[in-house]
Amino acid sequence: MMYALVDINGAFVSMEMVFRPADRNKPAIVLSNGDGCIIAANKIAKNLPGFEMYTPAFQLDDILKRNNVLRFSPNFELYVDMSRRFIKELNCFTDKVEMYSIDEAFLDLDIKNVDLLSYGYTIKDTIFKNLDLPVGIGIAPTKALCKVASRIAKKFVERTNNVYVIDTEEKRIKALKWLKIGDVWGIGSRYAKKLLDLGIKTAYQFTQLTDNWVLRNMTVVGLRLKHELEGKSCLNLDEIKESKKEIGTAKAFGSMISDYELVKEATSSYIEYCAGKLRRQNSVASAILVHVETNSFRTQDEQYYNRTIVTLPVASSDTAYLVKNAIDGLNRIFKDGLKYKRVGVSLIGLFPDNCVQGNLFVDCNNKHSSIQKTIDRLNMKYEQGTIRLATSGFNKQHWESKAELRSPRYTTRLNEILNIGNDVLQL
Amino acid sequence: MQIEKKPAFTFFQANSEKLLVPYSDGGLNATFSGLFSDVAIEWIDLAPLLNTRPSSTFFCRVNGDSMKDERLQDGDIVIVDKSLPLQDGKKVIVWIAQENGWTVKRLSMKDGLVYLIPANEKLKPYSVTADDIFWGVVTWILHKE
Repeated sequence: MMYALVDINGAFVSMEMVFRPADRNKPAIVLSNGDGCIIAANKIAKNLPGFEMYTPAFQLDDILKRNNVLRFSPNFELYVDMSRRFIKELNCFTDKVEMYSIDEAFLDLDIKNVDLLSYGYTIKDTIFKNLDLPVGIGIAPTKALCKVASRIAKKFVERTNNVYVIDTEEKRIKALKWLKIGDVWGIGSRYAKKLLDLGIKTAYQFTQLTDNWVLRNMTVVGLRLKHELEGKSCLNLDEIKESKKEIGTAKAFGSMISDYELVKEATSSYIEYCAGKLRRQNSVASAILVHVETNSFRTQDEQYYNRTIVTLPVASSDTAYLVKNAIDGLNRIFKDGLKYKRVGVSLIGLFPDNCVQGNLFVDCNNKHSSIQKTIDRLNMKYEQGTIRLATSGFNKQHWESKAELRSPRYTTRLNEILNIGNDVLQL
Repeated sequence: MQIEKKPAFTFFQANSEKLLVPYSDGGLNATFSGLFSDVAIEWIDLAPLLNTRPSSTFFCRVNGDSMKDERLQDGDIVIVDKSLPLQDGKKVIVWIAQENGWTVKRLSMKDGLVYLIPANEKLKPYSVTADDIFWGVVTWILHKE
């Protein structure tokens, strides 16, 4: 069994460029709401001397202006729709597609007698032809090794052309010897430091440790990671949800639920859980994706799936604020009289909280900060959810996002579709 | 006939119920409310007709009358599938690099020469350059009478 990790290069910027072919080779960035912090960039921008992700744009104003870097406000509605299309395209290759984040997915390659490298190129070319999205692909016997392969594919583009396969012991060892311990997927900065202190500098050295040591010092997740890097597939993706890009949860209910209040409660508690995780990594979220679904196996019931994206006026990690916005999202898609199996939330567009701009006119963020810390502490000490929000009576004000630089929502709004206007070939 | 209104913030997904048009044997008095739940109300779903491949299908609006003689008029919406192969005679959406803008024209590919052909006697065919980018193939024209 082999797996493939397919991810979109410079996802948000690439999605913007689908509709701006002329700008595909220019440096471009996406700024957080309020147009503050750089949350996405393409490779050309990232390679500019002095450029740094996750910094407030004004600090780099010189560099951005001098290099004519294109700036966008986030258009999450577009990104989420393009992401949905991306997954659907992958589904044409196999129905075993596991979406890992908004711009990456794992595929089970349950195929025989196929040259994996050329299969990888076929996937890459198809996604580019049908969606204009450039992807990188790592193919390997385990998901952790796919991550390594994908890293190599991107790092050595001239040689790999964005696809790399680890299918021999020789390639696996070479790759692990190249990979720095801090860059190993899912290892976390705390463990990376601990390992470095012990002189473990590469992924290969990590795999030379005994199982016993890893289990005792790095929990069972660390052990599974080691096995994965050794080529033994054993990882459950939920255990290693990479924190940098996206935090989400979507557990199925114990039984079918029709009651709005219960669905709302679930949404609220999922957000509390995700917001806690978000704060532990000192990040804030730019948008919330909410989805509801009925049980497709209960064919006798009316079926429904819908999702929506709530773009926050100002990025935040405040539970009350996130819950309020998630409930607003839920209200848009919830339909009465259905039996729901699942509600899911994802926090997306994450970046470090030390570069939040804030907005004088929005009552949002750090007001609750000290209360929030106390709640987090209590929840940590007792059980998650000991201290809960009363999810009612919030300020009903609606804030319009400052979206001057936001591109049209080409794929989801009929009045914003691509305009072949003022056709250039007419006199 | 009446088309169901779009709620403010859902996705414009043509494979969802947004393209449903109510239809009933009982004439045009069919209601959405379910009051006549014992009366069979069928729905004509336009999505399978108009949007056969949702993941690579996009909607675009056309301005101008450069294609007026081939049923494509100012203000029409075209449905574009990016997955389709380029074929002689198809209408295509192309980014014209030198002009820095979009165009929709009929594609002509003969003897290695690639032209975009307008449907307006005032305009001349355009010879495609290497910098121009083919974006997609038109599958439907939506024209409001």
